[in-house]
Amino acid sequence: MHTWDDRQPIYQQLADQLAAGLLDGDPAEGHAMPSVRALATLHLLNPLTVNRALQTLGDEGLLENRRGMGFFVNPGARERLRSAERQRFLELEWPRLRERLRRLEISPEQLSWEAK
Amino acid sequence: MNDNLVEAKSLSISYGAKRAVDDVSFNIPKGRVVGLLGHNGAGKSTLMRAMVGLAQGTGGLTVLGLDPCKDRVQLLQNACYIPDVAILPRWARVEELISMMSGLNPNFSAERARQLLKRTSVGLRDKVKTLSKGMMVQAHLALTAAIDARLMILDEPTLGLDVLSRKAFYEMLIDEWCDGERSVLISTHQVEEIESLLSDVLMLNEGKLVLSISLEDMDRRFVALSHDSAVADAMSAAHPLLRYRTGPGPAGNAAIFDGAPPEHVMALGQRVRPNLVDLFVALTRKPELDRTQF
Amino acid sequence: MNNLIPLMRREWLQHRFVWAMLLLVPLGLAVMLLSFGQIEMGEAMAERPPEDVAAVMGSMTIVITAAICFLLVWITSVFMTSGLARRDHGDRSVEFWLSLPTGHAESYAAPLLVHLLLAPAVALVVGLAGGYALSLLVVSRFLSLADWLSLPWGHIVAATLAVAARVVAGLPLATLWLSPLILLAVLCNALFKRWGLPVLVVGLGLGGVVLKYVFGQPLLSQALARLGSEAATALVGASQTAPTGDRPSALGTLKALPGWAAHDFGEALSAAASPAMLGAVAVAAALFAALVYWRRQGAGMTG
Repeated sequence: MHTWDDRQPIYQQLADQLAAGLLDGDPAEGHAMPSVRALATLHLLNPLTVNRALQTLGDEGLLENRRGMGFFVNPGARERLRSAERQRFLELEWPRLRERLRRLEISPEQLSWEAK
Repeated sequence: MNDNLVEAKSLSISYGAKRAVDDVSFNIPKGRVVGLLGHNGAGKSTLMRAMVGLAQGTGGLTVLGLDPCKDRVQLLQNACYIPDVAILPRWARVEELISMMSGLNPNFSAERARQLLKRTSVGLRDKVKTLSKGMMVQAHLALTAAIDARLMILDEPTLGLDVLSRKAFYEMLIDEWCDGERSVLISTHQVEEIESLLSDVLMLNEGKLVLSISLEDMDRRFVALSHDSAVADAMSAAHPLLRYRTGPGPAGNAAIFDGAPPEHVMALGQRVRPNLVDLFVALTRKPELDRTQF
Repeated sequence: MNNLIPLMRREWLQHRFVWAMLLLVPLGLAVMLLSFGQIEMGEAMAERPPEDVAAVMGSMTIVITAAICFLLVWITSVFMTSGLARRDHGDRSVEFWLSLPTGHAESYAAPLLVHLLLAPAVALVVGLAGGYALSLLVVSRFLSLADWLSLPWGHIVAATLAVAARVVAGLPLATLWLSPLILLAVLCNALFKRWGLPVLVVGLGLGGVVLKYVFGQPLLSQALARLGSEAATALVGASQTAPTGDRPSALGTLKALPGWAAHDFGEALSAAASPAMLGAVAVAAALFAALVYWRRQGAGMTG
């Protein structure tokens, strides 16, 4: 069974996981999220936890809760997530990574940027 | 209208001289998945038995607004119970069980039972004696979930099952039962695997209720600090409930506090989510154990 | 008691194979034996006129078949019933049954009714039907088909049905007479598990002997003997008389049987309207209440 780490509440970890999916376009904008019941069954979580995760994403403006129909992905959600991730990377992760590259004395030319 | 499906007030149950359940009070609202945790002999089964009228105690116990002992038959039509030594009768075929339960419980739906059984690998014509333990438990759950009940009481339902069967069991439980109106009370030893399913927890230690809390509140009330071994002494001095190791190396230490410890102690470590297993160990430890061994 | 019928249905589902075997095996055996075996006829029979012989042969076949089927099922049922309290402990399904919305009293009443009354009665009827079929085999084989066809069927049917009805009507009375013993066996089995029956036998046997010879109180052994004999005569023979006088003709006996059966039943009824019966029923009721209490406390599964 899926093990959730102890850093954050489970609902937050699920929200992050769902957000990562949204970033990849799954589900696409305008489409419905999987139902609370389906997600709960899939991850073996309490439906209340799943609900909370979805609410969290809703509060961040990524999802819209349509009464009686479930949560739908807001248009522009993907872009918002991407720009939020981009900002996080540039402000937090990149400086650390750059420091490490300097310490290892790796120059930009040595990084194979184009390779996948 | 009270939203509580179960209300217990100062409930005590004794077997002769032994107090199996000691002055226990709690509520179970609707739409919850409540874990009843405790070591062997802590009183879990006794408490569950009392809730279905198979054991009698002193104090107040109301289940679905009924007295479990006096209104046992009516209660069992609206609450379903899988006891811990529940084995289905070996001589019966599954379809015979369906037919018997249809006759005995007006809230039982044969159609729903058949529908639920389709999820399992159990056939209608199968004889119970040919089923493996995992299949039998799944069949039992399917039959039980076919009762249109508001409360399901499961006493260690997955004991002795392999991982796949346990997973299938929980999947069926969540998918077919948890709809926000019904509640489940489930007792188990396997705290880790069930933690993510629970919305609330009741912890019994030698008959006494040592914790009755929702998981949400638990995350807020208990502070778990992950810290370095260098600050171990400072941590100890703040009297945590439990100190334990989370992993190898000097950084793999943690301590759980009931309520926030002083600021300077908080600064010594990093806050992490209190783990239910660890909390369980902390609160139900036998007092003879030496605290300093951690 | 509104779950009585579904609970009785459980007995059918659980035991129908056993009952079928108990009835079909003897019937099958009888067919085989009678097809290939011989019948010895006593001297007295040889002196009778042929139609008498046929009548005796036919009706005896019917009566014996019905009696064997009845007794087989009845005795088996009485033994099965004595293990009633713990019958679900063997496959550990007792907690499953306890988790169903059935009252404790009806959970015992249903199997008692089915095994002590319904099953033997049905066995008797099946045995009767089987007996008619077997009589064809017997009479046509040892005499001739014509003999079977020319049997006094009106009287045979009337007589056999009357005796069958007598037994079926007497069965509840016999059961009531035996109820304290049966329920005591059930309770002993409940409390002492597999030592229950030995404890009971020793307790009653020794108790009776000790009371009688040591204390001069023959009550227990007398009571037990009384219960037994009353039960037997409740089934048949309460009137202590034979249907007809010495050496009657077969036809005469057949004609007299319905009247005799009715009279016999009347005697059984009046024997039942006695303080002894009241005592038996009172003891049985107390034992039943004890069983219900035992089941309510968790049927021996708590602890």
